[in-house]
Parts: sequence; C-alpha cells; structure tokens
Amino acid sequence: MAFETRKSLLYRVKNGDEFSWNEFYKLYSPLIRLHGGDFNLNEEEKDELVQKVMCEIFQKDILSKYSIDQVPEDVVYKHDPNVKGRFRHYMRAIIGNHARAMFKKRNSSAVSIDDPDMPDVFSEEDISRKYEEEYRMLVLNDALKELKNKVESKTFAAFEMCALQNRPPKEVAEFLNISIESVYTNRSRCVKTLKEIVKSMEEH
Amino acid sequence: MKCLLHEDVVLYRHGKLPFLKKIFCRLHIKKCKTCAAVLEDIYKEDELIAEMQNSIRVFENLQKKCSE
Repeated sequence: MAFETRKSLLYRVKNGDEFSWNEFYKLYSPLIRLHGGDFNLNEEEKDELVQKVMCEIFQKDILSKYSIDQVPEDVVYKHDPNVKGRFRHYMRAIIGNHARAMFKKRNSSAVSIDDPDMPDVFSEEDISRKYEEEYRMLVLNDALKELKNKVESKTFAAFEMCALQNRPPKEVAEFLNISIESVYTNRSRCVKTLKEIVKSMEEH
Repeated sequence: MKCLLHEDVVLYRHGKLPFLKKIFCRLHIKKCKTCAAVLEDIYKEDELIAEMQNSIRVFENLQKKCSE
C-alpha cells in the first residue's frame, strides 16, 4: 500500500482496529521471517519470532510511542546519522533484539547467555544491509498490489504477463486483444507508476 | 526541437517502430538530451522488473513455507 495508505494503516492499528491489525500482521510477518533467517533461525524459530515481535508491538503499545507524522528527533539510525527514525527502523530493532536473544538461547548450552565472551557472530553492518534489501522486497511486493488498484485491468494484465511472467509480447497481445505496441507502452506505463509508488513507500 | 512522444521512445527501445520512424528517432535522440535521458530510463525499467521478479519469487516461497 502506498505511503498514505500505510500511514492510515498505522493510525488504525494504533487506534485498536482489529481488522487493521490483521492487515498489519499479513504485511509485516514475511519481513520478520526473512530477517529471522539472517540470524540463522530455523522455521519454527521464525514462527516464534513473528509472534514475539507482534506481541511486543501490541503489548508495549509501540505504535502509540511512534509518532507517525513526525519522525522523532532523538531517534537516529545507527548507520546513517542523517536519516531519522522510520517505522521500518523500529521494526528492525525489535526483530533484531528478539532474533539475537533466540539465537543466543539456542547456542548457549555451554556458555551463559549473559557471558560477555559470547561471540556476536552477526556483523551490524551486514545485518543492516540485509534488512534494507528485505524491506525493499516487501515494498516491491506491496507496490505491485497498489499498482493493480491504480491502473486499468488490461494495462496491469499486459504488464504482468509481459514483464513479470516473461511471456512473448505477441502472445500477450493476442490474448488480451491489443496491439503489440500497446503491450510495450502498457509495460512502460506500469513501471513508471510502480516507481512512483515505491518512492512514496520508501519514505516511510 | 520538439521532443519525441514517450510511447515512441518506448517502441524505439523495443525495436517496434517502422523503419523510417526508427531512423528519425535515432537521429533525434542523438541531438536531444531530454529524449536521450528518457531512453536511458526506459532501459533501466528492466532492472526494476528483474528486482520485482526476484521479490515475488522470494515472497511466494515464504508463503508456501507458511502454508506447509
């Protein structure tokens, strides 16, 4: 969903709308699972991670503390001091904290969890880069859904078949009963719209 | 110098213009920075599409694992 729609989702979740919580869960749980994989968590642990992260957000009422309209002045993202806190940075911190704890718990058989000598095998820079890549994937998937709502169905179908499914333009044109030229121009039009949607989402 | 229509630059990039129009576009793009930039953007569309395909694949796999 585009930035404004995402903003409104956060507001609705903040106000306790149950349906919106469901949307929020569906939107962010793949990201949590993906990032859990960066900490070498197995599938069962990733399931647990999703529950822990969602519970923390709900029980600690994180969204009430996060100012959706104003980016907090005192929250500075570690690896780029010029970038102020975004919701995705809050998510990253929560996911990372739980994932690290789960990884350490699993690997702590010989060593205490609190032992300062417990190696931190995950480089902050590496984890951060992976998270940004994963977040970008979330944005792209979400942007595609938004695109479908923004353009005519035939335009979207031409784009989906030609660009995403790699079908030959001639086949797409015949199937949709449009010219080959229209297939190409629809493809380009969709990509242009997609770029605008992605740009607005990445500001969030 | 009037710029090319966006649709014409798209079709030029994909080799779908009639012969004479293609020549005209090629000559125009050589002289016009604006249209050259539009053409460059159109070439970059393929990068975004490849990224999109990868993201869809990753998320589809995730959803399959969730439903197993």
